[in-house]
Amino acid sequence: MNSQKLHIGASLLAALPLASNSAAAAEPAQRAVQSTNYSLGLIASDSDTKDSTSNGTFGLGGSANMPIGNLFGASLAGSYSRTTARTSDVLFDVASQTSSRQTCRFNNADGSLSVFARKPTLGRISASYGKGNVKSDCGDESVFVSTGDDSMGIDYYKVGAEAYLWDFTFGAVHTSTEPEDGEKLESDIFSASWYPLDSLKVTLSGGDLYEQDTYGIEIEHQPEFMGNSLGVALGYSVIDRDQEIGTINFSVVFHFGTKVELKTRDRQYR
Amino acid sequence: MRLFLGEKVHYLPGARRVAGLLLFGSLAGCGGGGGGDDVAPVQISTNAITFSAAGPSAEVPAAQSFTATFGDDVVQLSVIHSGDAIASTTSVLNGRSAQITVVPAAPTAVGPGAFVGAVAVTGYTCADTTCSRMAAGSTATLPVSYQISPALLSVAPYVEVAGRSDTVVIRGQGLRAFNISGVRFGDTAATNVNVNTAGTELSATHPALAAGSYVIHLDSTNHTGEIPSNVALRVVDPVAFAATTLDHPSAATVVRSLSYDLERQALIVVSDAGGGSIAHYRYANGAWGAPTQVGSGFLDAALSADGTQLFAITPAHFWPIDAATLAVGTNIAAPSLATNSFLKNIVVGYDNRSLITTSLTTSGSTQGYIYDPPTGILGLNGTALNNATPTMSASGAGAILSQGDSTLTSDVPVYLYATAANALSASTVSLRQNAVPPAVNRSITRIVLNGTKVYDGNFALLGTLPDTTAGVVLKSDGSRAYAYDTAAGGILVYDVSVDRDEAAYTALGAVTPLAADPGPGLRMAITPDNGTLFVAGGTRIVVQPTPAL
Repeated sequence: MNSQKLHIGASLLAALPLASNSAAAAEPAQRAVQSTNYSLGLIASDSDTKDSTSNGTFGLGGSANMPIGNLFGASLAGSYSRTTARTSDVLFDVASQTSSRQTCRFNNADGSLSVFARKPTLGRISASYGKGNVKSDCGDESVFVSTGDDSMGIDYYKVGAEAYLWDFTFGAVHTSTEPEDGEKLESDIFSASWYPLDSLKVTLSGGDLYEQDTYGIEIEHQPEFMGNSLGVALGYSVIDRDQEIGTINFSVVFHFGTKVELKTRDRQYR
Repeated sequence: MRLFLGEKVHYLPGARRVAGLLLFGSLAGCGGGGGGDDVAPVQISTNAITFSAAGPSAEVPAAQSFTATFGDDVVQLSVIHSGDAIASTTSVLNGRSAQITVVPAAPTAVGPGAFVGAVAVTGYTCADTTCSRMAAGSTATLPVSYQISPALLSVAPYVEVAGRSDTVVIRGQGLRAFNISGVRFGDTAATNVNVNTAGTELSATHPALAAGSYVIHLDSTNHTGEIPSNVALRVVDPVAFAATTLDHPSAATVVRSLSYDLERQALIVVSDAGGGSIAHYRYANGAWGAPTQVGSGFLDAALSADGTQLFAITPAHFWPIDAATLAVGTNIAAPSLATNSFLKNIVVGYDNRSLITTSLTTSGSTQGYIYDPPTGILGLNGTALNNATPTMSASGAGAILSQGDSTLTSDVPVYLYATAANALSASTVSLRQNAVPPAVNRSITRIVLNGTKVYDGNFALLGTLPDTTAGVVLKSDGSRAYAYDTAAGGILVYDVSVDRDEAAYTALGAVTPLAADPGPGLRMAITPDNGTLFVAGGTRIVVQPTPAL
C-alpha cells in the first residue's frame, strides 16, 4: 500500500508541470470560484457487511461555495442523515405478543468549512475543518465506545490536493478525525477522475481508511437536458477487511444558479 | 451524446487515454491486499444461554452474563435482543470488552412455554473518513432459550375410590405450551388424555388404582426434564356402611343439603336444626361418631374442590369453614343482594368456584353469585333465576338447576351450569320445580328432574318415575336411579340406562325398606363407589346399603 501511495504521489508531481504549461497556454486566467453558488442534494446509501447487518442511509446535504479573491475560495457544507441497520440480519424473527425485535438507528449531523486555493488550469489545494455529531438509538444498551453513551461528537480536519490534467483529475486527501474522547483516526484517500464527457465523470478511489484498505468507483453525470443544474451520482465502494463492507451510494444534487457542465463545475465552482 | 473523448480533444488523445487508464489501474490496485485487513471481530465468551423456571409463578431466574470483546476499529457497540425470553440486557464497557448481562423475562409475564430469543452484539465502525456514517462491523449473535414449565394446579375430584377407573380433570396453566404426550398417576399411565383449547384443563382417565396417593405427572415430547408437579390424586378404599340411622344433633324439620366427604368418610348435613346448622358425622373404626355441629343460620354448604373447606352460606353471607375442624372463617357479604332476597343454595365446580343461587320470600327472579377463591371475590353471575336449586355432578363439571314453583302459571327453563366457562345457559326443558332437587350422574349423561322425569345429557326425555318419589340419586355411571318412594316405603331401583320413550320406568326387584322413616323435607346422597345411600329427612338420617340391582 505504501509503495502504491508513493507511486501515485510521484505520478501527480510529474504530471503537474505538464498540465500547467499546456492548459495555461490554452485558457485565460480564471478565479478559484467563478461565482458564489449553492447546491442541495439527497444522498442515499446501502451498506452490507459480510456475515453481519446491512444498513441503509438516507440524508440531505447542502453546500455553498464562494470566491475569496481570484486565487482562493471557501466552501460551507452541512448534512443530516439517518442510518438504519437491518437487525433482522442478525436477530432471527420471533413471533411474540410481548416483545419485538429491536432496531438500530444512527442520526448524524455535521458541518464543515473549507478554504482552498485553486488555479482552474492547474489544480487545487484545500484545508477543511468539520464538526459533527452522531447519535445512536439501538436497544437498551448500545453506546459509543469512546463516550460511553449514545452520542458522540466528531471533529475532523482535512488537507487535500487536486491536479487537473486534461480530462483527468487526480486527488489526494488526508483526513484526521477525532471522535469525542476517542483516539484520532487517520485516513488517506487517493482518487483519479476521468471526464469522458464534460458532463460525465468516472472516479476511482482507493486508500487507507483507519488502517483498512478501501477502494471505490463512482460515476457522476450532469445531464444536459436538465439544464446542467442537476447532478446524479452512483458509486460503489468497499472496505476490504475480514468482514468486508460494501456500500452502494446514490445522490441527486441540484445546483442553484450556475448552469455549467460538470467538469467546469468541478474545476471552477466547487 | 458523446461517449468518448470528443470535441475538446485537441492533442495526443491516444497517449492521454493510455496514461489515464494506467493511472486508474494503479489506483485501483491501491485497495489490493486480497482477503481483507485483519481486524478483530466481535467475539463472545459463550455459545448459548439457557434459562428455566419451574412454572409461571416461579421466581425470575437469575440473570446471566457473558463477555464480548471487539477490535480497535469499533466505535459503537450495539447490544440488541429479540424474543419473549429476554426482558432486557445491560452492558458495561471496559476498554475493548463489555460485560453483557441478559435478564430473562418474568415467568408471570410470559407464561409457560419454550421461548427463544437472541442477543446480537454488533461493533459499528466509521464508514467514511469523517465518521459521518456508521457501518456494521462483525456481529456475534447469542441464542437464548427459556423454558417455563407448565403448572399443575389441581385435580378434581381430588379423591377417588380404589379399584375404579374414572375420568378426572387436571387444571393448570400452559398445558398446551408443550406437547403433552401422556399423563401418569404415579407410575401408572392414564388414557383418554385431552387438553382444552385454552391449555387450562386436561381430562384423563385413570385406571383402577389401589388406595394411596398418586402424584400426577405430565409427559412431554419437548419439555426438557420432568414437568414439576406436586398435585396428587388420593385414592381411598370404599367403606361398606351397614344400614343404620343417625339422629340430628338437635330437632330439625327440613334437611337442606346432604353430601358425603369421601376423604374423611364423613356425612355433611345442613338442616334447619338450631336455626340452620351444619352437622358433621364422621365414620371411624366401623362406627359413626357423634355429630359435630356448627353455626346458626346456615342454609347450605358444599365441599370445596380440594376438600379443604366447606363453602357455606347464610341468608346474606358466604362463609369458608375448615372441612376438618369446622372452624368458621371470615364471611363475605353478598353484594347488591336484591331486596327481600337471600342466598339459597351453593355448589362447587371442579375449578373450586362456587355457584350460589338466590331466593325471594315470594316467587320471583333474582341474580345468583359466583365466588372465586383465588381472588376472594363474591360477584353477581348475571343470570336471574327463580329460587333455583342446583345439583352439581360428582365430577364438578356442571350443575343442573331447576327453578320456579307451583304457584307459577307457566313452566320456566331448567338451566345448565358449565364449570369450564362458569356460565349458565337455559336448557330445552321447562318445568316448575317441586321439593325434589335435581339428580345428575357423574358425567352428566342422566338427569332426573322433579324426581320424576328422566333425561339424557341432551335433555331428551327418556322416561318417568312415580310421582311418589320423594328423593332420587343416580349411580355414577347413570345406569340406575335410586328413588326413595314414600308410597313404597323404601328404595326403588330403576334401570335408567334404557330409553323408555317417555314412558314410565318399572322398578327393578322389590322395594328395599329403610331402617326407619327419614321424615319430611328429605335429601338423598350416594357414595362415589355407589355402595351406600343416605336419606336424610327432618326426623333422622338413614344409612342404607345400595340395593344390588
